[in-house]
Amino acid sequence: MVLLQSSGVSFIRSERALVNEVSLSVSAGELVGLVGPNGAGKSTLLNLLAGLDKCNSGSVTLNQRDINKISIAERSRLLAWVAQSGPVNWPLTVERVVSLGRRPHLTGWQKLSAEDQKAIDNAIAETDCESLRLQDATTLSGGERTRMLLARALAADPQILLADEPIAALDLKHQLQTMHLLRNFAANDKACLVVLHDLSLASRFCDRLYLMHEGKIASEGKPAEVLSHENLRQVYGVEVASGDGEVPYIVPVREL
Amino acid sequence: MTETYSNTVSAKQLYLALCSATLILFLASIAIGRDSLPVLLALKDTIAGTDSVYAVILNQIRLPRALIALFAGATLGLCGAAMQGLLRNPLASPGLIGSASGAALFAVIVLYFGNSLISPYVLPVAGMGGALLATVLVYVLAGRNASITTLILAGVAINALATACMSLLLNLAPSPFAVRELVLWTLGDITDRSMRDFWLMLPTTLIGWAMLAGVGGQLDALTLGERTAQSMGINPVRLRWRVFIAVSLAVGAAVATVGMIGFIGLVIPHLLRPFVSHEPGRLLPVSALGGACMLLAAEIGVRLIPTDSPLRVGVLTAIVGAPFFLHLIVKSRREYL
Repeated sequence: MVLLQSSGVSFIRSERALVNEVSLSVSAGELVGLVGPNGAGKSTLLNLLAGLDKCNSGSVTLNQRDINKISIAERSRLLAWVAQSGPVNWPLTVERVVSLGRRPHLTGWQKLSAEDQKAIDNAIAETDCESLRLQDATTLSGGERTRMLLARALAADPQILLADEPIAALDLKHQLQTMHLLRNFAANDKACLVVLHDLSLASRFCDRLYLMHEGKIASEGKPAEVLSHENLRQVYGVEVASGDGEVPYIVPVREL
Repeated sequence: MTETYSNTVSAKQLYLALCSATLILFLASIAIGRDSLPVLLALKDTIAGTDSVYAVILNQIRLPRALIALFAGATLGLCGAAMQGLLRNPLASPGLIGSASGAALFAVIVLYFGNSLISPYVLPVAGMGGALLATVLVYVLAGRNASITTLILAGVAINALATACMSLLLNLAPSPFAVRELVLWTLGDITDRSMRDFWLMLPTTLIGWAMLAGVGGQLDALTLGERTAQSMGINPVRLRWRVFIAVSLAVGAAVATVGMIGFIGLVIPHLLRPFVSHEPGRLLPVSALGGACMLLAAEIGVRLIPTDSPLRVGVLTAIVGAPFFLHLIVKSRREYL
């Protein structure tokens, strides 16, 4: 079942189409990657899909309903969004930041229930934040902060997770852990759309990829099809070396 | 988990301490003065309907003063915490959006033209109107979907305009006595206030408080930035205007009643923040209690400190607050600045 879909979505700022008639879909059980060079419009598209910005034309549907007709509260229970780099303005503990993820499920003065605490504990454990639990969130490294923000999104127990470069600041071990985590999240009849720059990990973990270039979808499909040498030459302007064995890899060799 | 538990316990202790301090200071404010008042006897006379001197002092002088200090102090503390949470900046104050100076300007206009002699209601009503007008002007200047920076700039501009207009009125005042009256009013004062003043400030104060009552969780979410808060089901634009209008109503009522009283809204949230684990939502009620304590204490202070001319409560809060705030800034500059 398609959980998230965009049809002909465009977003124009200062007379420039940052996203130009993009159509994509993410179904239950899928981990879908959004790849492309810097400035291709990936983060802007993710914001549109999360309902954070309104598109100039086209439509976005969440659970087959127009996203603009779903209340902001209901939307926040269905969909979680993780920013590329998010601020933490007050020195809250990591546990408190993660617990904010339960906010969409709480009403008014309602306090965290045992079930909420369980979701928080699970999210902290899954993102390997246990040792950071009581640490001041403003003192975390970039990678630790990313894991904490991912935990915050997972604590919301959403149906759809949109993550903008969640592994960009992570070390090798945590890159693998996070990709496995996203994979397992999607496998649980949920859906995940993730912006990635690491084409090797995208190729290895994602079910499908969308390759963006200058606001448009340049290619879509299975990773092996999308990440062809020809596509990468056209979109990134580089020659790559790749292997498609048990652990696929794609590394840039030279600029064209 | 241990720390969370200990934080909860310390928060309860903090509430208990602040509630006790507020109650003690409130009673002290009634009992302490140039002549001490036997509170129980005054209360007994009031209940019995006896028009004794004690009952008159209690009902017409001490009680209105203590109630106004309690509510105005709580408003300044609460609104300071709300503004700091909204703007995510520990240096934000309730006066940032122009409501306080708008209220002060309109009150000064009333004093200048002598309209306060027409009816005792004119001055506080004009002050509240001025606060609302200042907020409307900020809204018009910044636009509905304005960013926080634009809103602050619009607030600064309205503050500057109101201050300039007040300076003009002082400059053009017909006599030195008029200048003195205008200046003294702006210094902040609770003496010579009646129950009528209290009842007049109460409705808009309570509306402002009620509007802020449900925003704690939203301010917590705002810690992670407006976009993330938006993805968590919060409408940042609606939240912004809700806080601004609430602050405008409550601070406008406070300033219209007691004049300009600075530093409470700035210092109290800053001082109490570590006791609530820096959570903006939990800071709101404790700052209200802290603000009430500070203004009640200052109000008692001005009565006890012997001076040739009566010391104004706004002057005392500034004299105590400014150095204390400087100390806090120096202490925490590595964290925030």
